[in-house]
Parts: sequence; structure tokens; C-alpha cells
Amino acid sequence: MSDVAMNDLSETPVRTRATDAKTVLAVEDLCTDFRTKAGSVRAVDGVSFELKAGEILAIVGESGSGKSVTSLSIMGLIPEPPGRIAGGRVFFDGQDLTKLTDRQLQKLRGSSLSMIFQEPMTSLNPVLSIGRQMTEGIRQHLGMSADQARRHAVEMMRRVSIPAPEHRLKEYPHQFSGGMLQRIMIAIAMSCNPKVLIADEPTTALDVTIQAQILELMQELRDMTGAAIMLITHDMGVVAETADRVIVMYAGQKIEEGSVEEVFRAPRHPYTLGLLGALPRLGQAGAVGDTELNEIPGVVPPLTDLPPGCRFSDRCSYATDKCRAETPPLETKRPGHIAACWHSDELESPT
Amino acid sequence: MTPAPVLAVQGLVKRFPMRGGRFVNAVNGVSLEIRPGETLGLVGESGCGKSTVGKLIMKLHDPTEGAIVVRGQNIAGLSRRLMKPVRRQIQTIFQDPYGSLNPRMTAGAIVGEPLKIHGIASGRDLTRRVAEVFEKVGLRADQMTRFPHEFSGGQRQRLSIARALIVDPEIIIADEPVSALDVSIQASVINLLIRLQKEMGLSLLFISHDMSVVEHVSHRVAVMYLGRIVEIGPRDMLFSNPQHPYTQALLSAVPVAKPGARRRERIVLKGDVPSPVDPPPGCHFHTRCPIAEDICRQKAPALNTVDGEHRAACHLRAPDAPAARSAA
Repeated sequence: MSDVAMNDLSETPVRTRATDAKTVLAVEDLCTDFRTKAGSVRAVDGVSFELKAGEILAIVGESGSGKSVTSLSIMGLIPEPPGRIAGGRVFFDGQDLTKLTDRQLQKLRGSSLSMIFQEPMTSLNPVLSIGRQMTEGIRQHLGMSADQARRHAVEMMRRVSIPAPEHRLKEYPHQFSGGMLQRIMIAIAMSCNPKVLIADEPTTALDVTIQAQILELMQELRDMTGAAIMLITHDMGVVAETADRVIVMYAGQKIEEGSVEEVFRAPRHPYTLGLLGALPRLGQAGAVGDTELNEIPGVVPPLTDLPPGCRFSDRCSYATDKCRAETPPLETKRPGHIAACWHSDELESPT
Repeated sequence: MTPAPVLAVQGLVKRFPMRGGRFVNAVNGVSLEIRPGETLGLVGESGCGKSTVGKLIMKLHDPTEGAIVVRGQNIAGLSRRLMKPVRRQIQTIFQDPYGSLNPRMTAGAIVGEPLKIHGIASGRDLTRRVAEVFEKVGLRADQMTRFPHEFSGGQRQRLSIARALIVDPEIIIADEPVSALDVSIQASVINLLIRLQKEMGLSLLFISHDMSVVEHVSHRVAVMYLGRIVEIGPRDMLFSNPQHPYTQALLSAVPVAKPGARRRERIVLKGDVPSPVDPPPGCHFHTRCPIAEDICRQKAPALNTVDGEHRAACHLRAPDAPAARSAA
């Protein structure tokens, strides 16, 4: 096998992270509702988790799992109406974000709590120079003069490896490639030393070689600044290579949480197991047609028409009558590894 | 012996004119062939020209230069009228299962339409054939009267597949057919395509940016960069022994869903893909290549044989390349 085939298993030491690190963000029983024609739906249903300083926590799930709504709820960016935070608390910096006014939230957003999105092109204003957009937040949050802010912006651009930053500050978004713009977004997000960075599918719109650059950059910045990163993604590969811990969401609920190693080695929820089996793995393909990918039958149930009991039960090969009647609670299956399944003990490990 | 290809593309060039007399050099001298019953994977990043190659084969664009040979006939210059029987042989599946189905037609009418267009069947015969193909792709015949919005993303892609298969084509051009689908749904569509290929002896051009998916479905693979094929060969040879520095970087950049599995540093390429309006001289990849030398900036490398059918366009890596050296 050559140096770039990835099926060799020689162990690289896995990042070790102090488990006693300080909790910087705590989400408790978050519920977010949306009004639709078919009535009110609960897009996020009772999600709780903690984010510790310096860690990368991935939230993974397919379309409609509620992973993006969770991050928007934390940031106070749910459009109201039709949305509404229906319950729960979000503790950050000793205060409950759900109780803050828009003005108070505005002060936090972009400074100690910042966010980057999937489409860097649509997150930046096309008619303002990059310099103007970079210095705006710096001046507002750090109280710098125009000249200081410009110097700080140049320094941030240098950190994210934008060549000739002094020159490029004068340019406009359309003069940058997608990968460069995502670097700029990261530079803006990191420019006021946030404690928490929420990255919602930050590399989904980018090519794989550019994705590699951006993920590497995010890890470097975490190591350098000690910021905690919440990484929203649908890509299990990105989770495995970037995150320390992972939360799996399904139909608005958290169904599994644990260290990345644990969850990938021995998932305790059939949905997680199914997701891992559905992926074609580089370097592991047999002759074409010899091995079928694992299919998860059916589709995610619409939030307006959820089955009773476990929401995954009608697609689950382990499901029994109990699953269809009673919602399984989130239980600790192994130290630091929780899942919501009545049949966790019967699950085989993925190959 | 290699069987005669069902489709061969030779020296394909497509330049799109821009304002000001300049051109986007989307495809710049691509040659490839698709053999009976095989899947040729065509991979590359956005803007590499892979989708344009697919559209040129479908004659959705006219090639600037080059030949597209289907069963011995060059279709590159054919009129719309003369193309019609050829189109029956070559069918397409697109990425977006939402945009490629008419929302005002029933699923049955959408799938049956090619039969009408090609004058193959009508009336009860048409309905029977549509019902058959519905079952073949894992849909129920009673879903024929429904409209596209009543289907999930995965089911819509099954409808696209049914519409392509109903005229019994030889070749399917599948352009990112699973990229818009969630992982769990993607798996079932991939399994279906492979199963149907076996049953019906289909030849597939599978265009994708996803290296893992391409590896899973393809017998042979071609890698494109800025309008050119930089490496082509049997799948296992190309994936286990990639020769072109771009292929190597592309493979090493794919995130692996196994914590701790990465054993070497990722090859992180510097910079971005240059503009196809003004591609760099010599080897198009030299601006980002970790091993480029003077010759790479001056002369475009030919596709040289690595081993058997495995070929790579690199001055420094292919064994019989003039400038070959033990650079690896």
C-alpha cells in the first residue's frame, strides 16, 4: 500500500484532553419550536450538553436532525416568528443566553461567542471591502482605533495564511476564492478572541483539498487560543479526524454522545452504527458489486408525524414492541458514553 | 484482450467564449473510453471540467474540438435529428433530484416520457413498462400517480434512474448522482446502481468529487485537473499506487471515518486551483505541486504508462517519462 492509502491501522496517539477542563458553554434541555402550516413542530427536543475549554465537539446528523437549529438557538439567531425557543437554558459566561435581550446578545456575538457558516460567500457583504468587514467587529468589540483595528486585521489574515494581507484588505469578496473567504470568515470569527466558536458545516461547500486546509487551520487556532469549537457537520470522516467528542442527533433529539474514539469503535445506538456502515471507506472497496453498503431503510420521520416510542424504531433492525411504545432514555452505557437505546448491548461493532 | 469500448472520447476540447474575446478552457484535450459493463469514475474538484465532459458526451454542449465515438460513429458533429437515436443509447442522471423532475407531471408520466419521445411504446404497453421499471428501482407501481414533491430525495433519485433505464440504454452518464443525498440514502442509491448495472450490463460514466464513492463503484478511474486528465487506470492500481502528485494529495485529503487511522501527515496543497481562463503554462498543476521542477513550468506532460493500463501525466513520476527520476 502506498503512503496515501488510508487503511493502515498503525496507531497515531489520539489527542488527549484534560477532562477537568472548564465548561465554557452548557446547554440544558433546549427545546426550539417552529410554527408550520401543519402546526407547531419541535425541531430541537430536550437537547443538553456541555462544551469544555479547548475541545472540539462535533454535532453530527443528517438533514432535519436539528443540528443547525441547535447552534442557531445557542446564538440567539432563531427567526421569531416562526421560530421560538420553547424551553431550556444556555449558560455561557455565567449568564443564561436565552434570557438576554437582543442588544446584550449582540455584544457577545462576534466577540466571546462567534460563528461561521457553510457559505462564506453569502455571509459577507459583497459591496464592502474585506478590510471594512474585518475591522468592524474589532473596533466595536475591542474598542480599537481604525489604525489599530487595521493592524489587528492584517495580523489575523496572516494567521489564517492569506498572502499579502495589507493589499488584500482593500479587495472585495468576489476577488477571493471560496477557500480564501472561509479563511477570512475564520479570521473575523477569531479576531476578538472568542471562548466559543460555532462552525456550522464550515467545509461542506469546499473542495476536499481546501477542506483539509480549513480543518487544519481550525485545529491550529484551537491549539493556539484554547477556544472551544462546536463543529456542526454531516460528515463522519470530518468528525473522526477533527473532533474530540461527538453528539449524534436524530429527528431533533440527541441520541448518542461520547468521545470520538468510543463512539466510532463501539457505537451504542443503531442509527450511529447504521451511519458508519453506510459510508464507503477509502481503501476498503472490494471488487465492484461484491460488498453492498449498509442501507438504513425508510426515511427520517417528519417532525409533524413522529412515531411513538423511539423515533428511529420504524427504521431499526433491532426494534421490538418496547421500542415502538416507550421512548428510551439517554443512559450511560460506558463511562463518558451515553446513548438512548433499549438494545445497546446487542449492537455489534462496526467492521 | 480489452473489449471494444461502447464509447470513446478522443482529444475532446471545450472552450466557452467570454466577453472580451477570452475563453474559459473547460476541457483541454480529454481522451477516454468506456467499456461494456464497466463503470469509469471521473473525479476531480469543482471547475476541473468533469461535468463538462459529461455534457459534451450528451451533446448538451458542442465540443470545440475532438471526437465522441459511440459504436463506431462519431457523434461530435451530428444534428439534433440525427442525435435522437443516439440519445436513446446514452441516458443521464443528474445531481439534483428536485430540479430534474417536472413538478407538474406525475411520476409515471415523467418516467414514461422517453418511451413516447422515442416512439417505443404508448397506451397500455407504456403503462406496463413504467410499472416494471418502477419495481426495478425499488418503487411501487401504485406510486405512479403521485407527483415528485410527494417523494423523498432518495425516491426522486430512483425516479431519475427509472427514467434513464426505461429506454434500455447502453450507457448512463451519472453526474454526481448521490451528492445531494444524506449518507443513509446515498448508500441505497449506490447499491441500486451497482445492482442494475450487473443485471442490465450497463456501462457507466460516474462523475463525482467524492473519492470514497468513486472507489466503491468504479472499475477504472480518471482524475481530472483544470480540464485535463492527470491520471487514469484500473481502480485498484490508481488508488493503491497513485502516481500524480495531485491524485496523491486528493486521496490524502479525504477525511477517514476511523479515529487514529491516519498514519501520515495529510498532504495539504497550498493555494487554490488557478483560473481556467488563464491556466498556467506547462503542467497545469505546477503552481500547487510540492515537487515541481523547471520542466513542469515549461512543458505539458503526456499521459505516460506507469504499469499496464495505469497512466499518469507527470514529468517526474511516471517510470518511462523522459525526466523520470527517483523523486518518489
